[in-house]
Amino acid sequence: MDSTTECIKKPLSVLSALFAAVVCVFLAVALREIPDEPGGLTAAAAAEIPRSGVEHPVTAVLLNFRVYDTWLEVGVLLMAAMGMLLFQRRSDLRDIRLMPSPEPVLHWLVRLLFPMLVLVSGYLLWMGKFAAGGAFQAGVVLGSGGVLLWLAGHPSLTNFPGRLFRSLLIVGFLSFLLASIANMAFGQAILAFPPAYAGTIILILEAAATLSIAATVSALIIGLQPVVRDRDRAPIHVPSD
Amino acid sequence: MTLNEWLLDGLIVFALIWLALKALYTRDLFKAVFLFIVFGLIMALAWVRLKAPDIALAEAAIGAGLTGVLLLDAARHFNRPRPTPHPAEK
Repeated sequence: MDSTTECIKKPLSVLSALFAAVVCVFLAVALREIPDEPGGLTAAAAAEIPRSGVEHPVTAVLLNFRVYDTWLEVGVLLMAAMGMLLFQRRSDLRDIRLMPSPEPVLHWLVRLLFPMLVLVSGYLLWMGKFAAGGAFQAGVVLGSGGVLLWLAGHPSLTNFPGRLFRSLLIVGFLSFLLASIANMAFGQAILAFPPAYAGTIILILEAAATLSIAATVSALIIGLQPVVRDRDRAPIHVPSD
Repeated sequence: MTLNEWLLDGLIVFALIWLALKALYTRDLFKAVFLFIVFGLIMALAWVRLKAPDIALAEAAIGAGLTGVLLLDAARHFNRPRPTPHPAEK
C-alpha cells in the first residue's frame, strides 16, 4: 500500500470514483430487472438440442444456433492477426527466434509439456460435444504451446513456412464460409446445418477454428517481438567450469 | 447453501474486490499485471461457483493466460527504452 496512492491526481481519482459509483448503481438497477426464472429463448433452445448434433447446450448455441456469431468472432481474431502483421510489416513469424537456452532441464520439460498441451487441446476440442470445452479453449491451449516452444528457443515455430502459417490463420474463417456456401448450395438457409450431419460439421468447424485460434494467439504474442538478426545477438554466456 | 459454500463464496468475492483494488492502485506495472492474472484465476473460480464452467475455462485461458502474457509484454515495453529500429529492417 505504501507506493500506491500519493502520485495519483486527486480530482481525477475523485471523478473516476464517482463514475464507478454511478456505474455500480446502474448495474444494481439492471440486476433487479433480471427475472428469477430462466426466460427468453431457454426453453426453445433446450427443445432443439437433440437436433443440434451435440449434447452440450453451450456448444449447441455457439456452434449451431448462433454459429453466425462464432463465425464473426473467428473473423475478429483473423483481423487482429492481420492487423498485427500489417503493423509489424511482416507476413510470417520467421526470424523472431530466441537463442536456444543452454538449460537441458528446460529442453526436457518442453519436450514433455508440448505433446501434453497438444493432447489437452485435442481433448478440450472433443469434450465440447458433451461438456465444457470447445474450440476457443482448445485453441488457446494449443497457442500457448506454441508460445512455450518459442520461449524455449525452439526453432520449429520461427522456421514455419509462411504460406502454411497464413493458411492456418484463415482456415477457421474459411471453413465457416465454405460451410455456409455449401448449405446454401443445397438449398438450406445459411448456416442451418441438417441435423443428420450437424455433429460432423460442428466438429470440423471447431477443429479448423482451433487451428486458427492457436495460430492467431501465438502470432499475436510472438509477432510483436522485435526481429533479432544473428549478427546483432549478444553471445550467450554459458557458465564454464 | 451450506455454511462452507457461503464461506467460499464470500472469500471469492472478497478476494476479487481486494485484488481488483490492488491491481488498480499498484504503481509497479509488473505487480499490477500479476495481480490482474491472479484476479482472472479467482474470477474463473467465481464462474465455476456460478455453474458456468465454459466461461470459467475461457476466463482462465483467455482472461488470465493470454491477456496476462500480452499485458506483461506491454509492461516490458513501457519499462524498457525502445530499441533503435534496425536500419536493414524491411
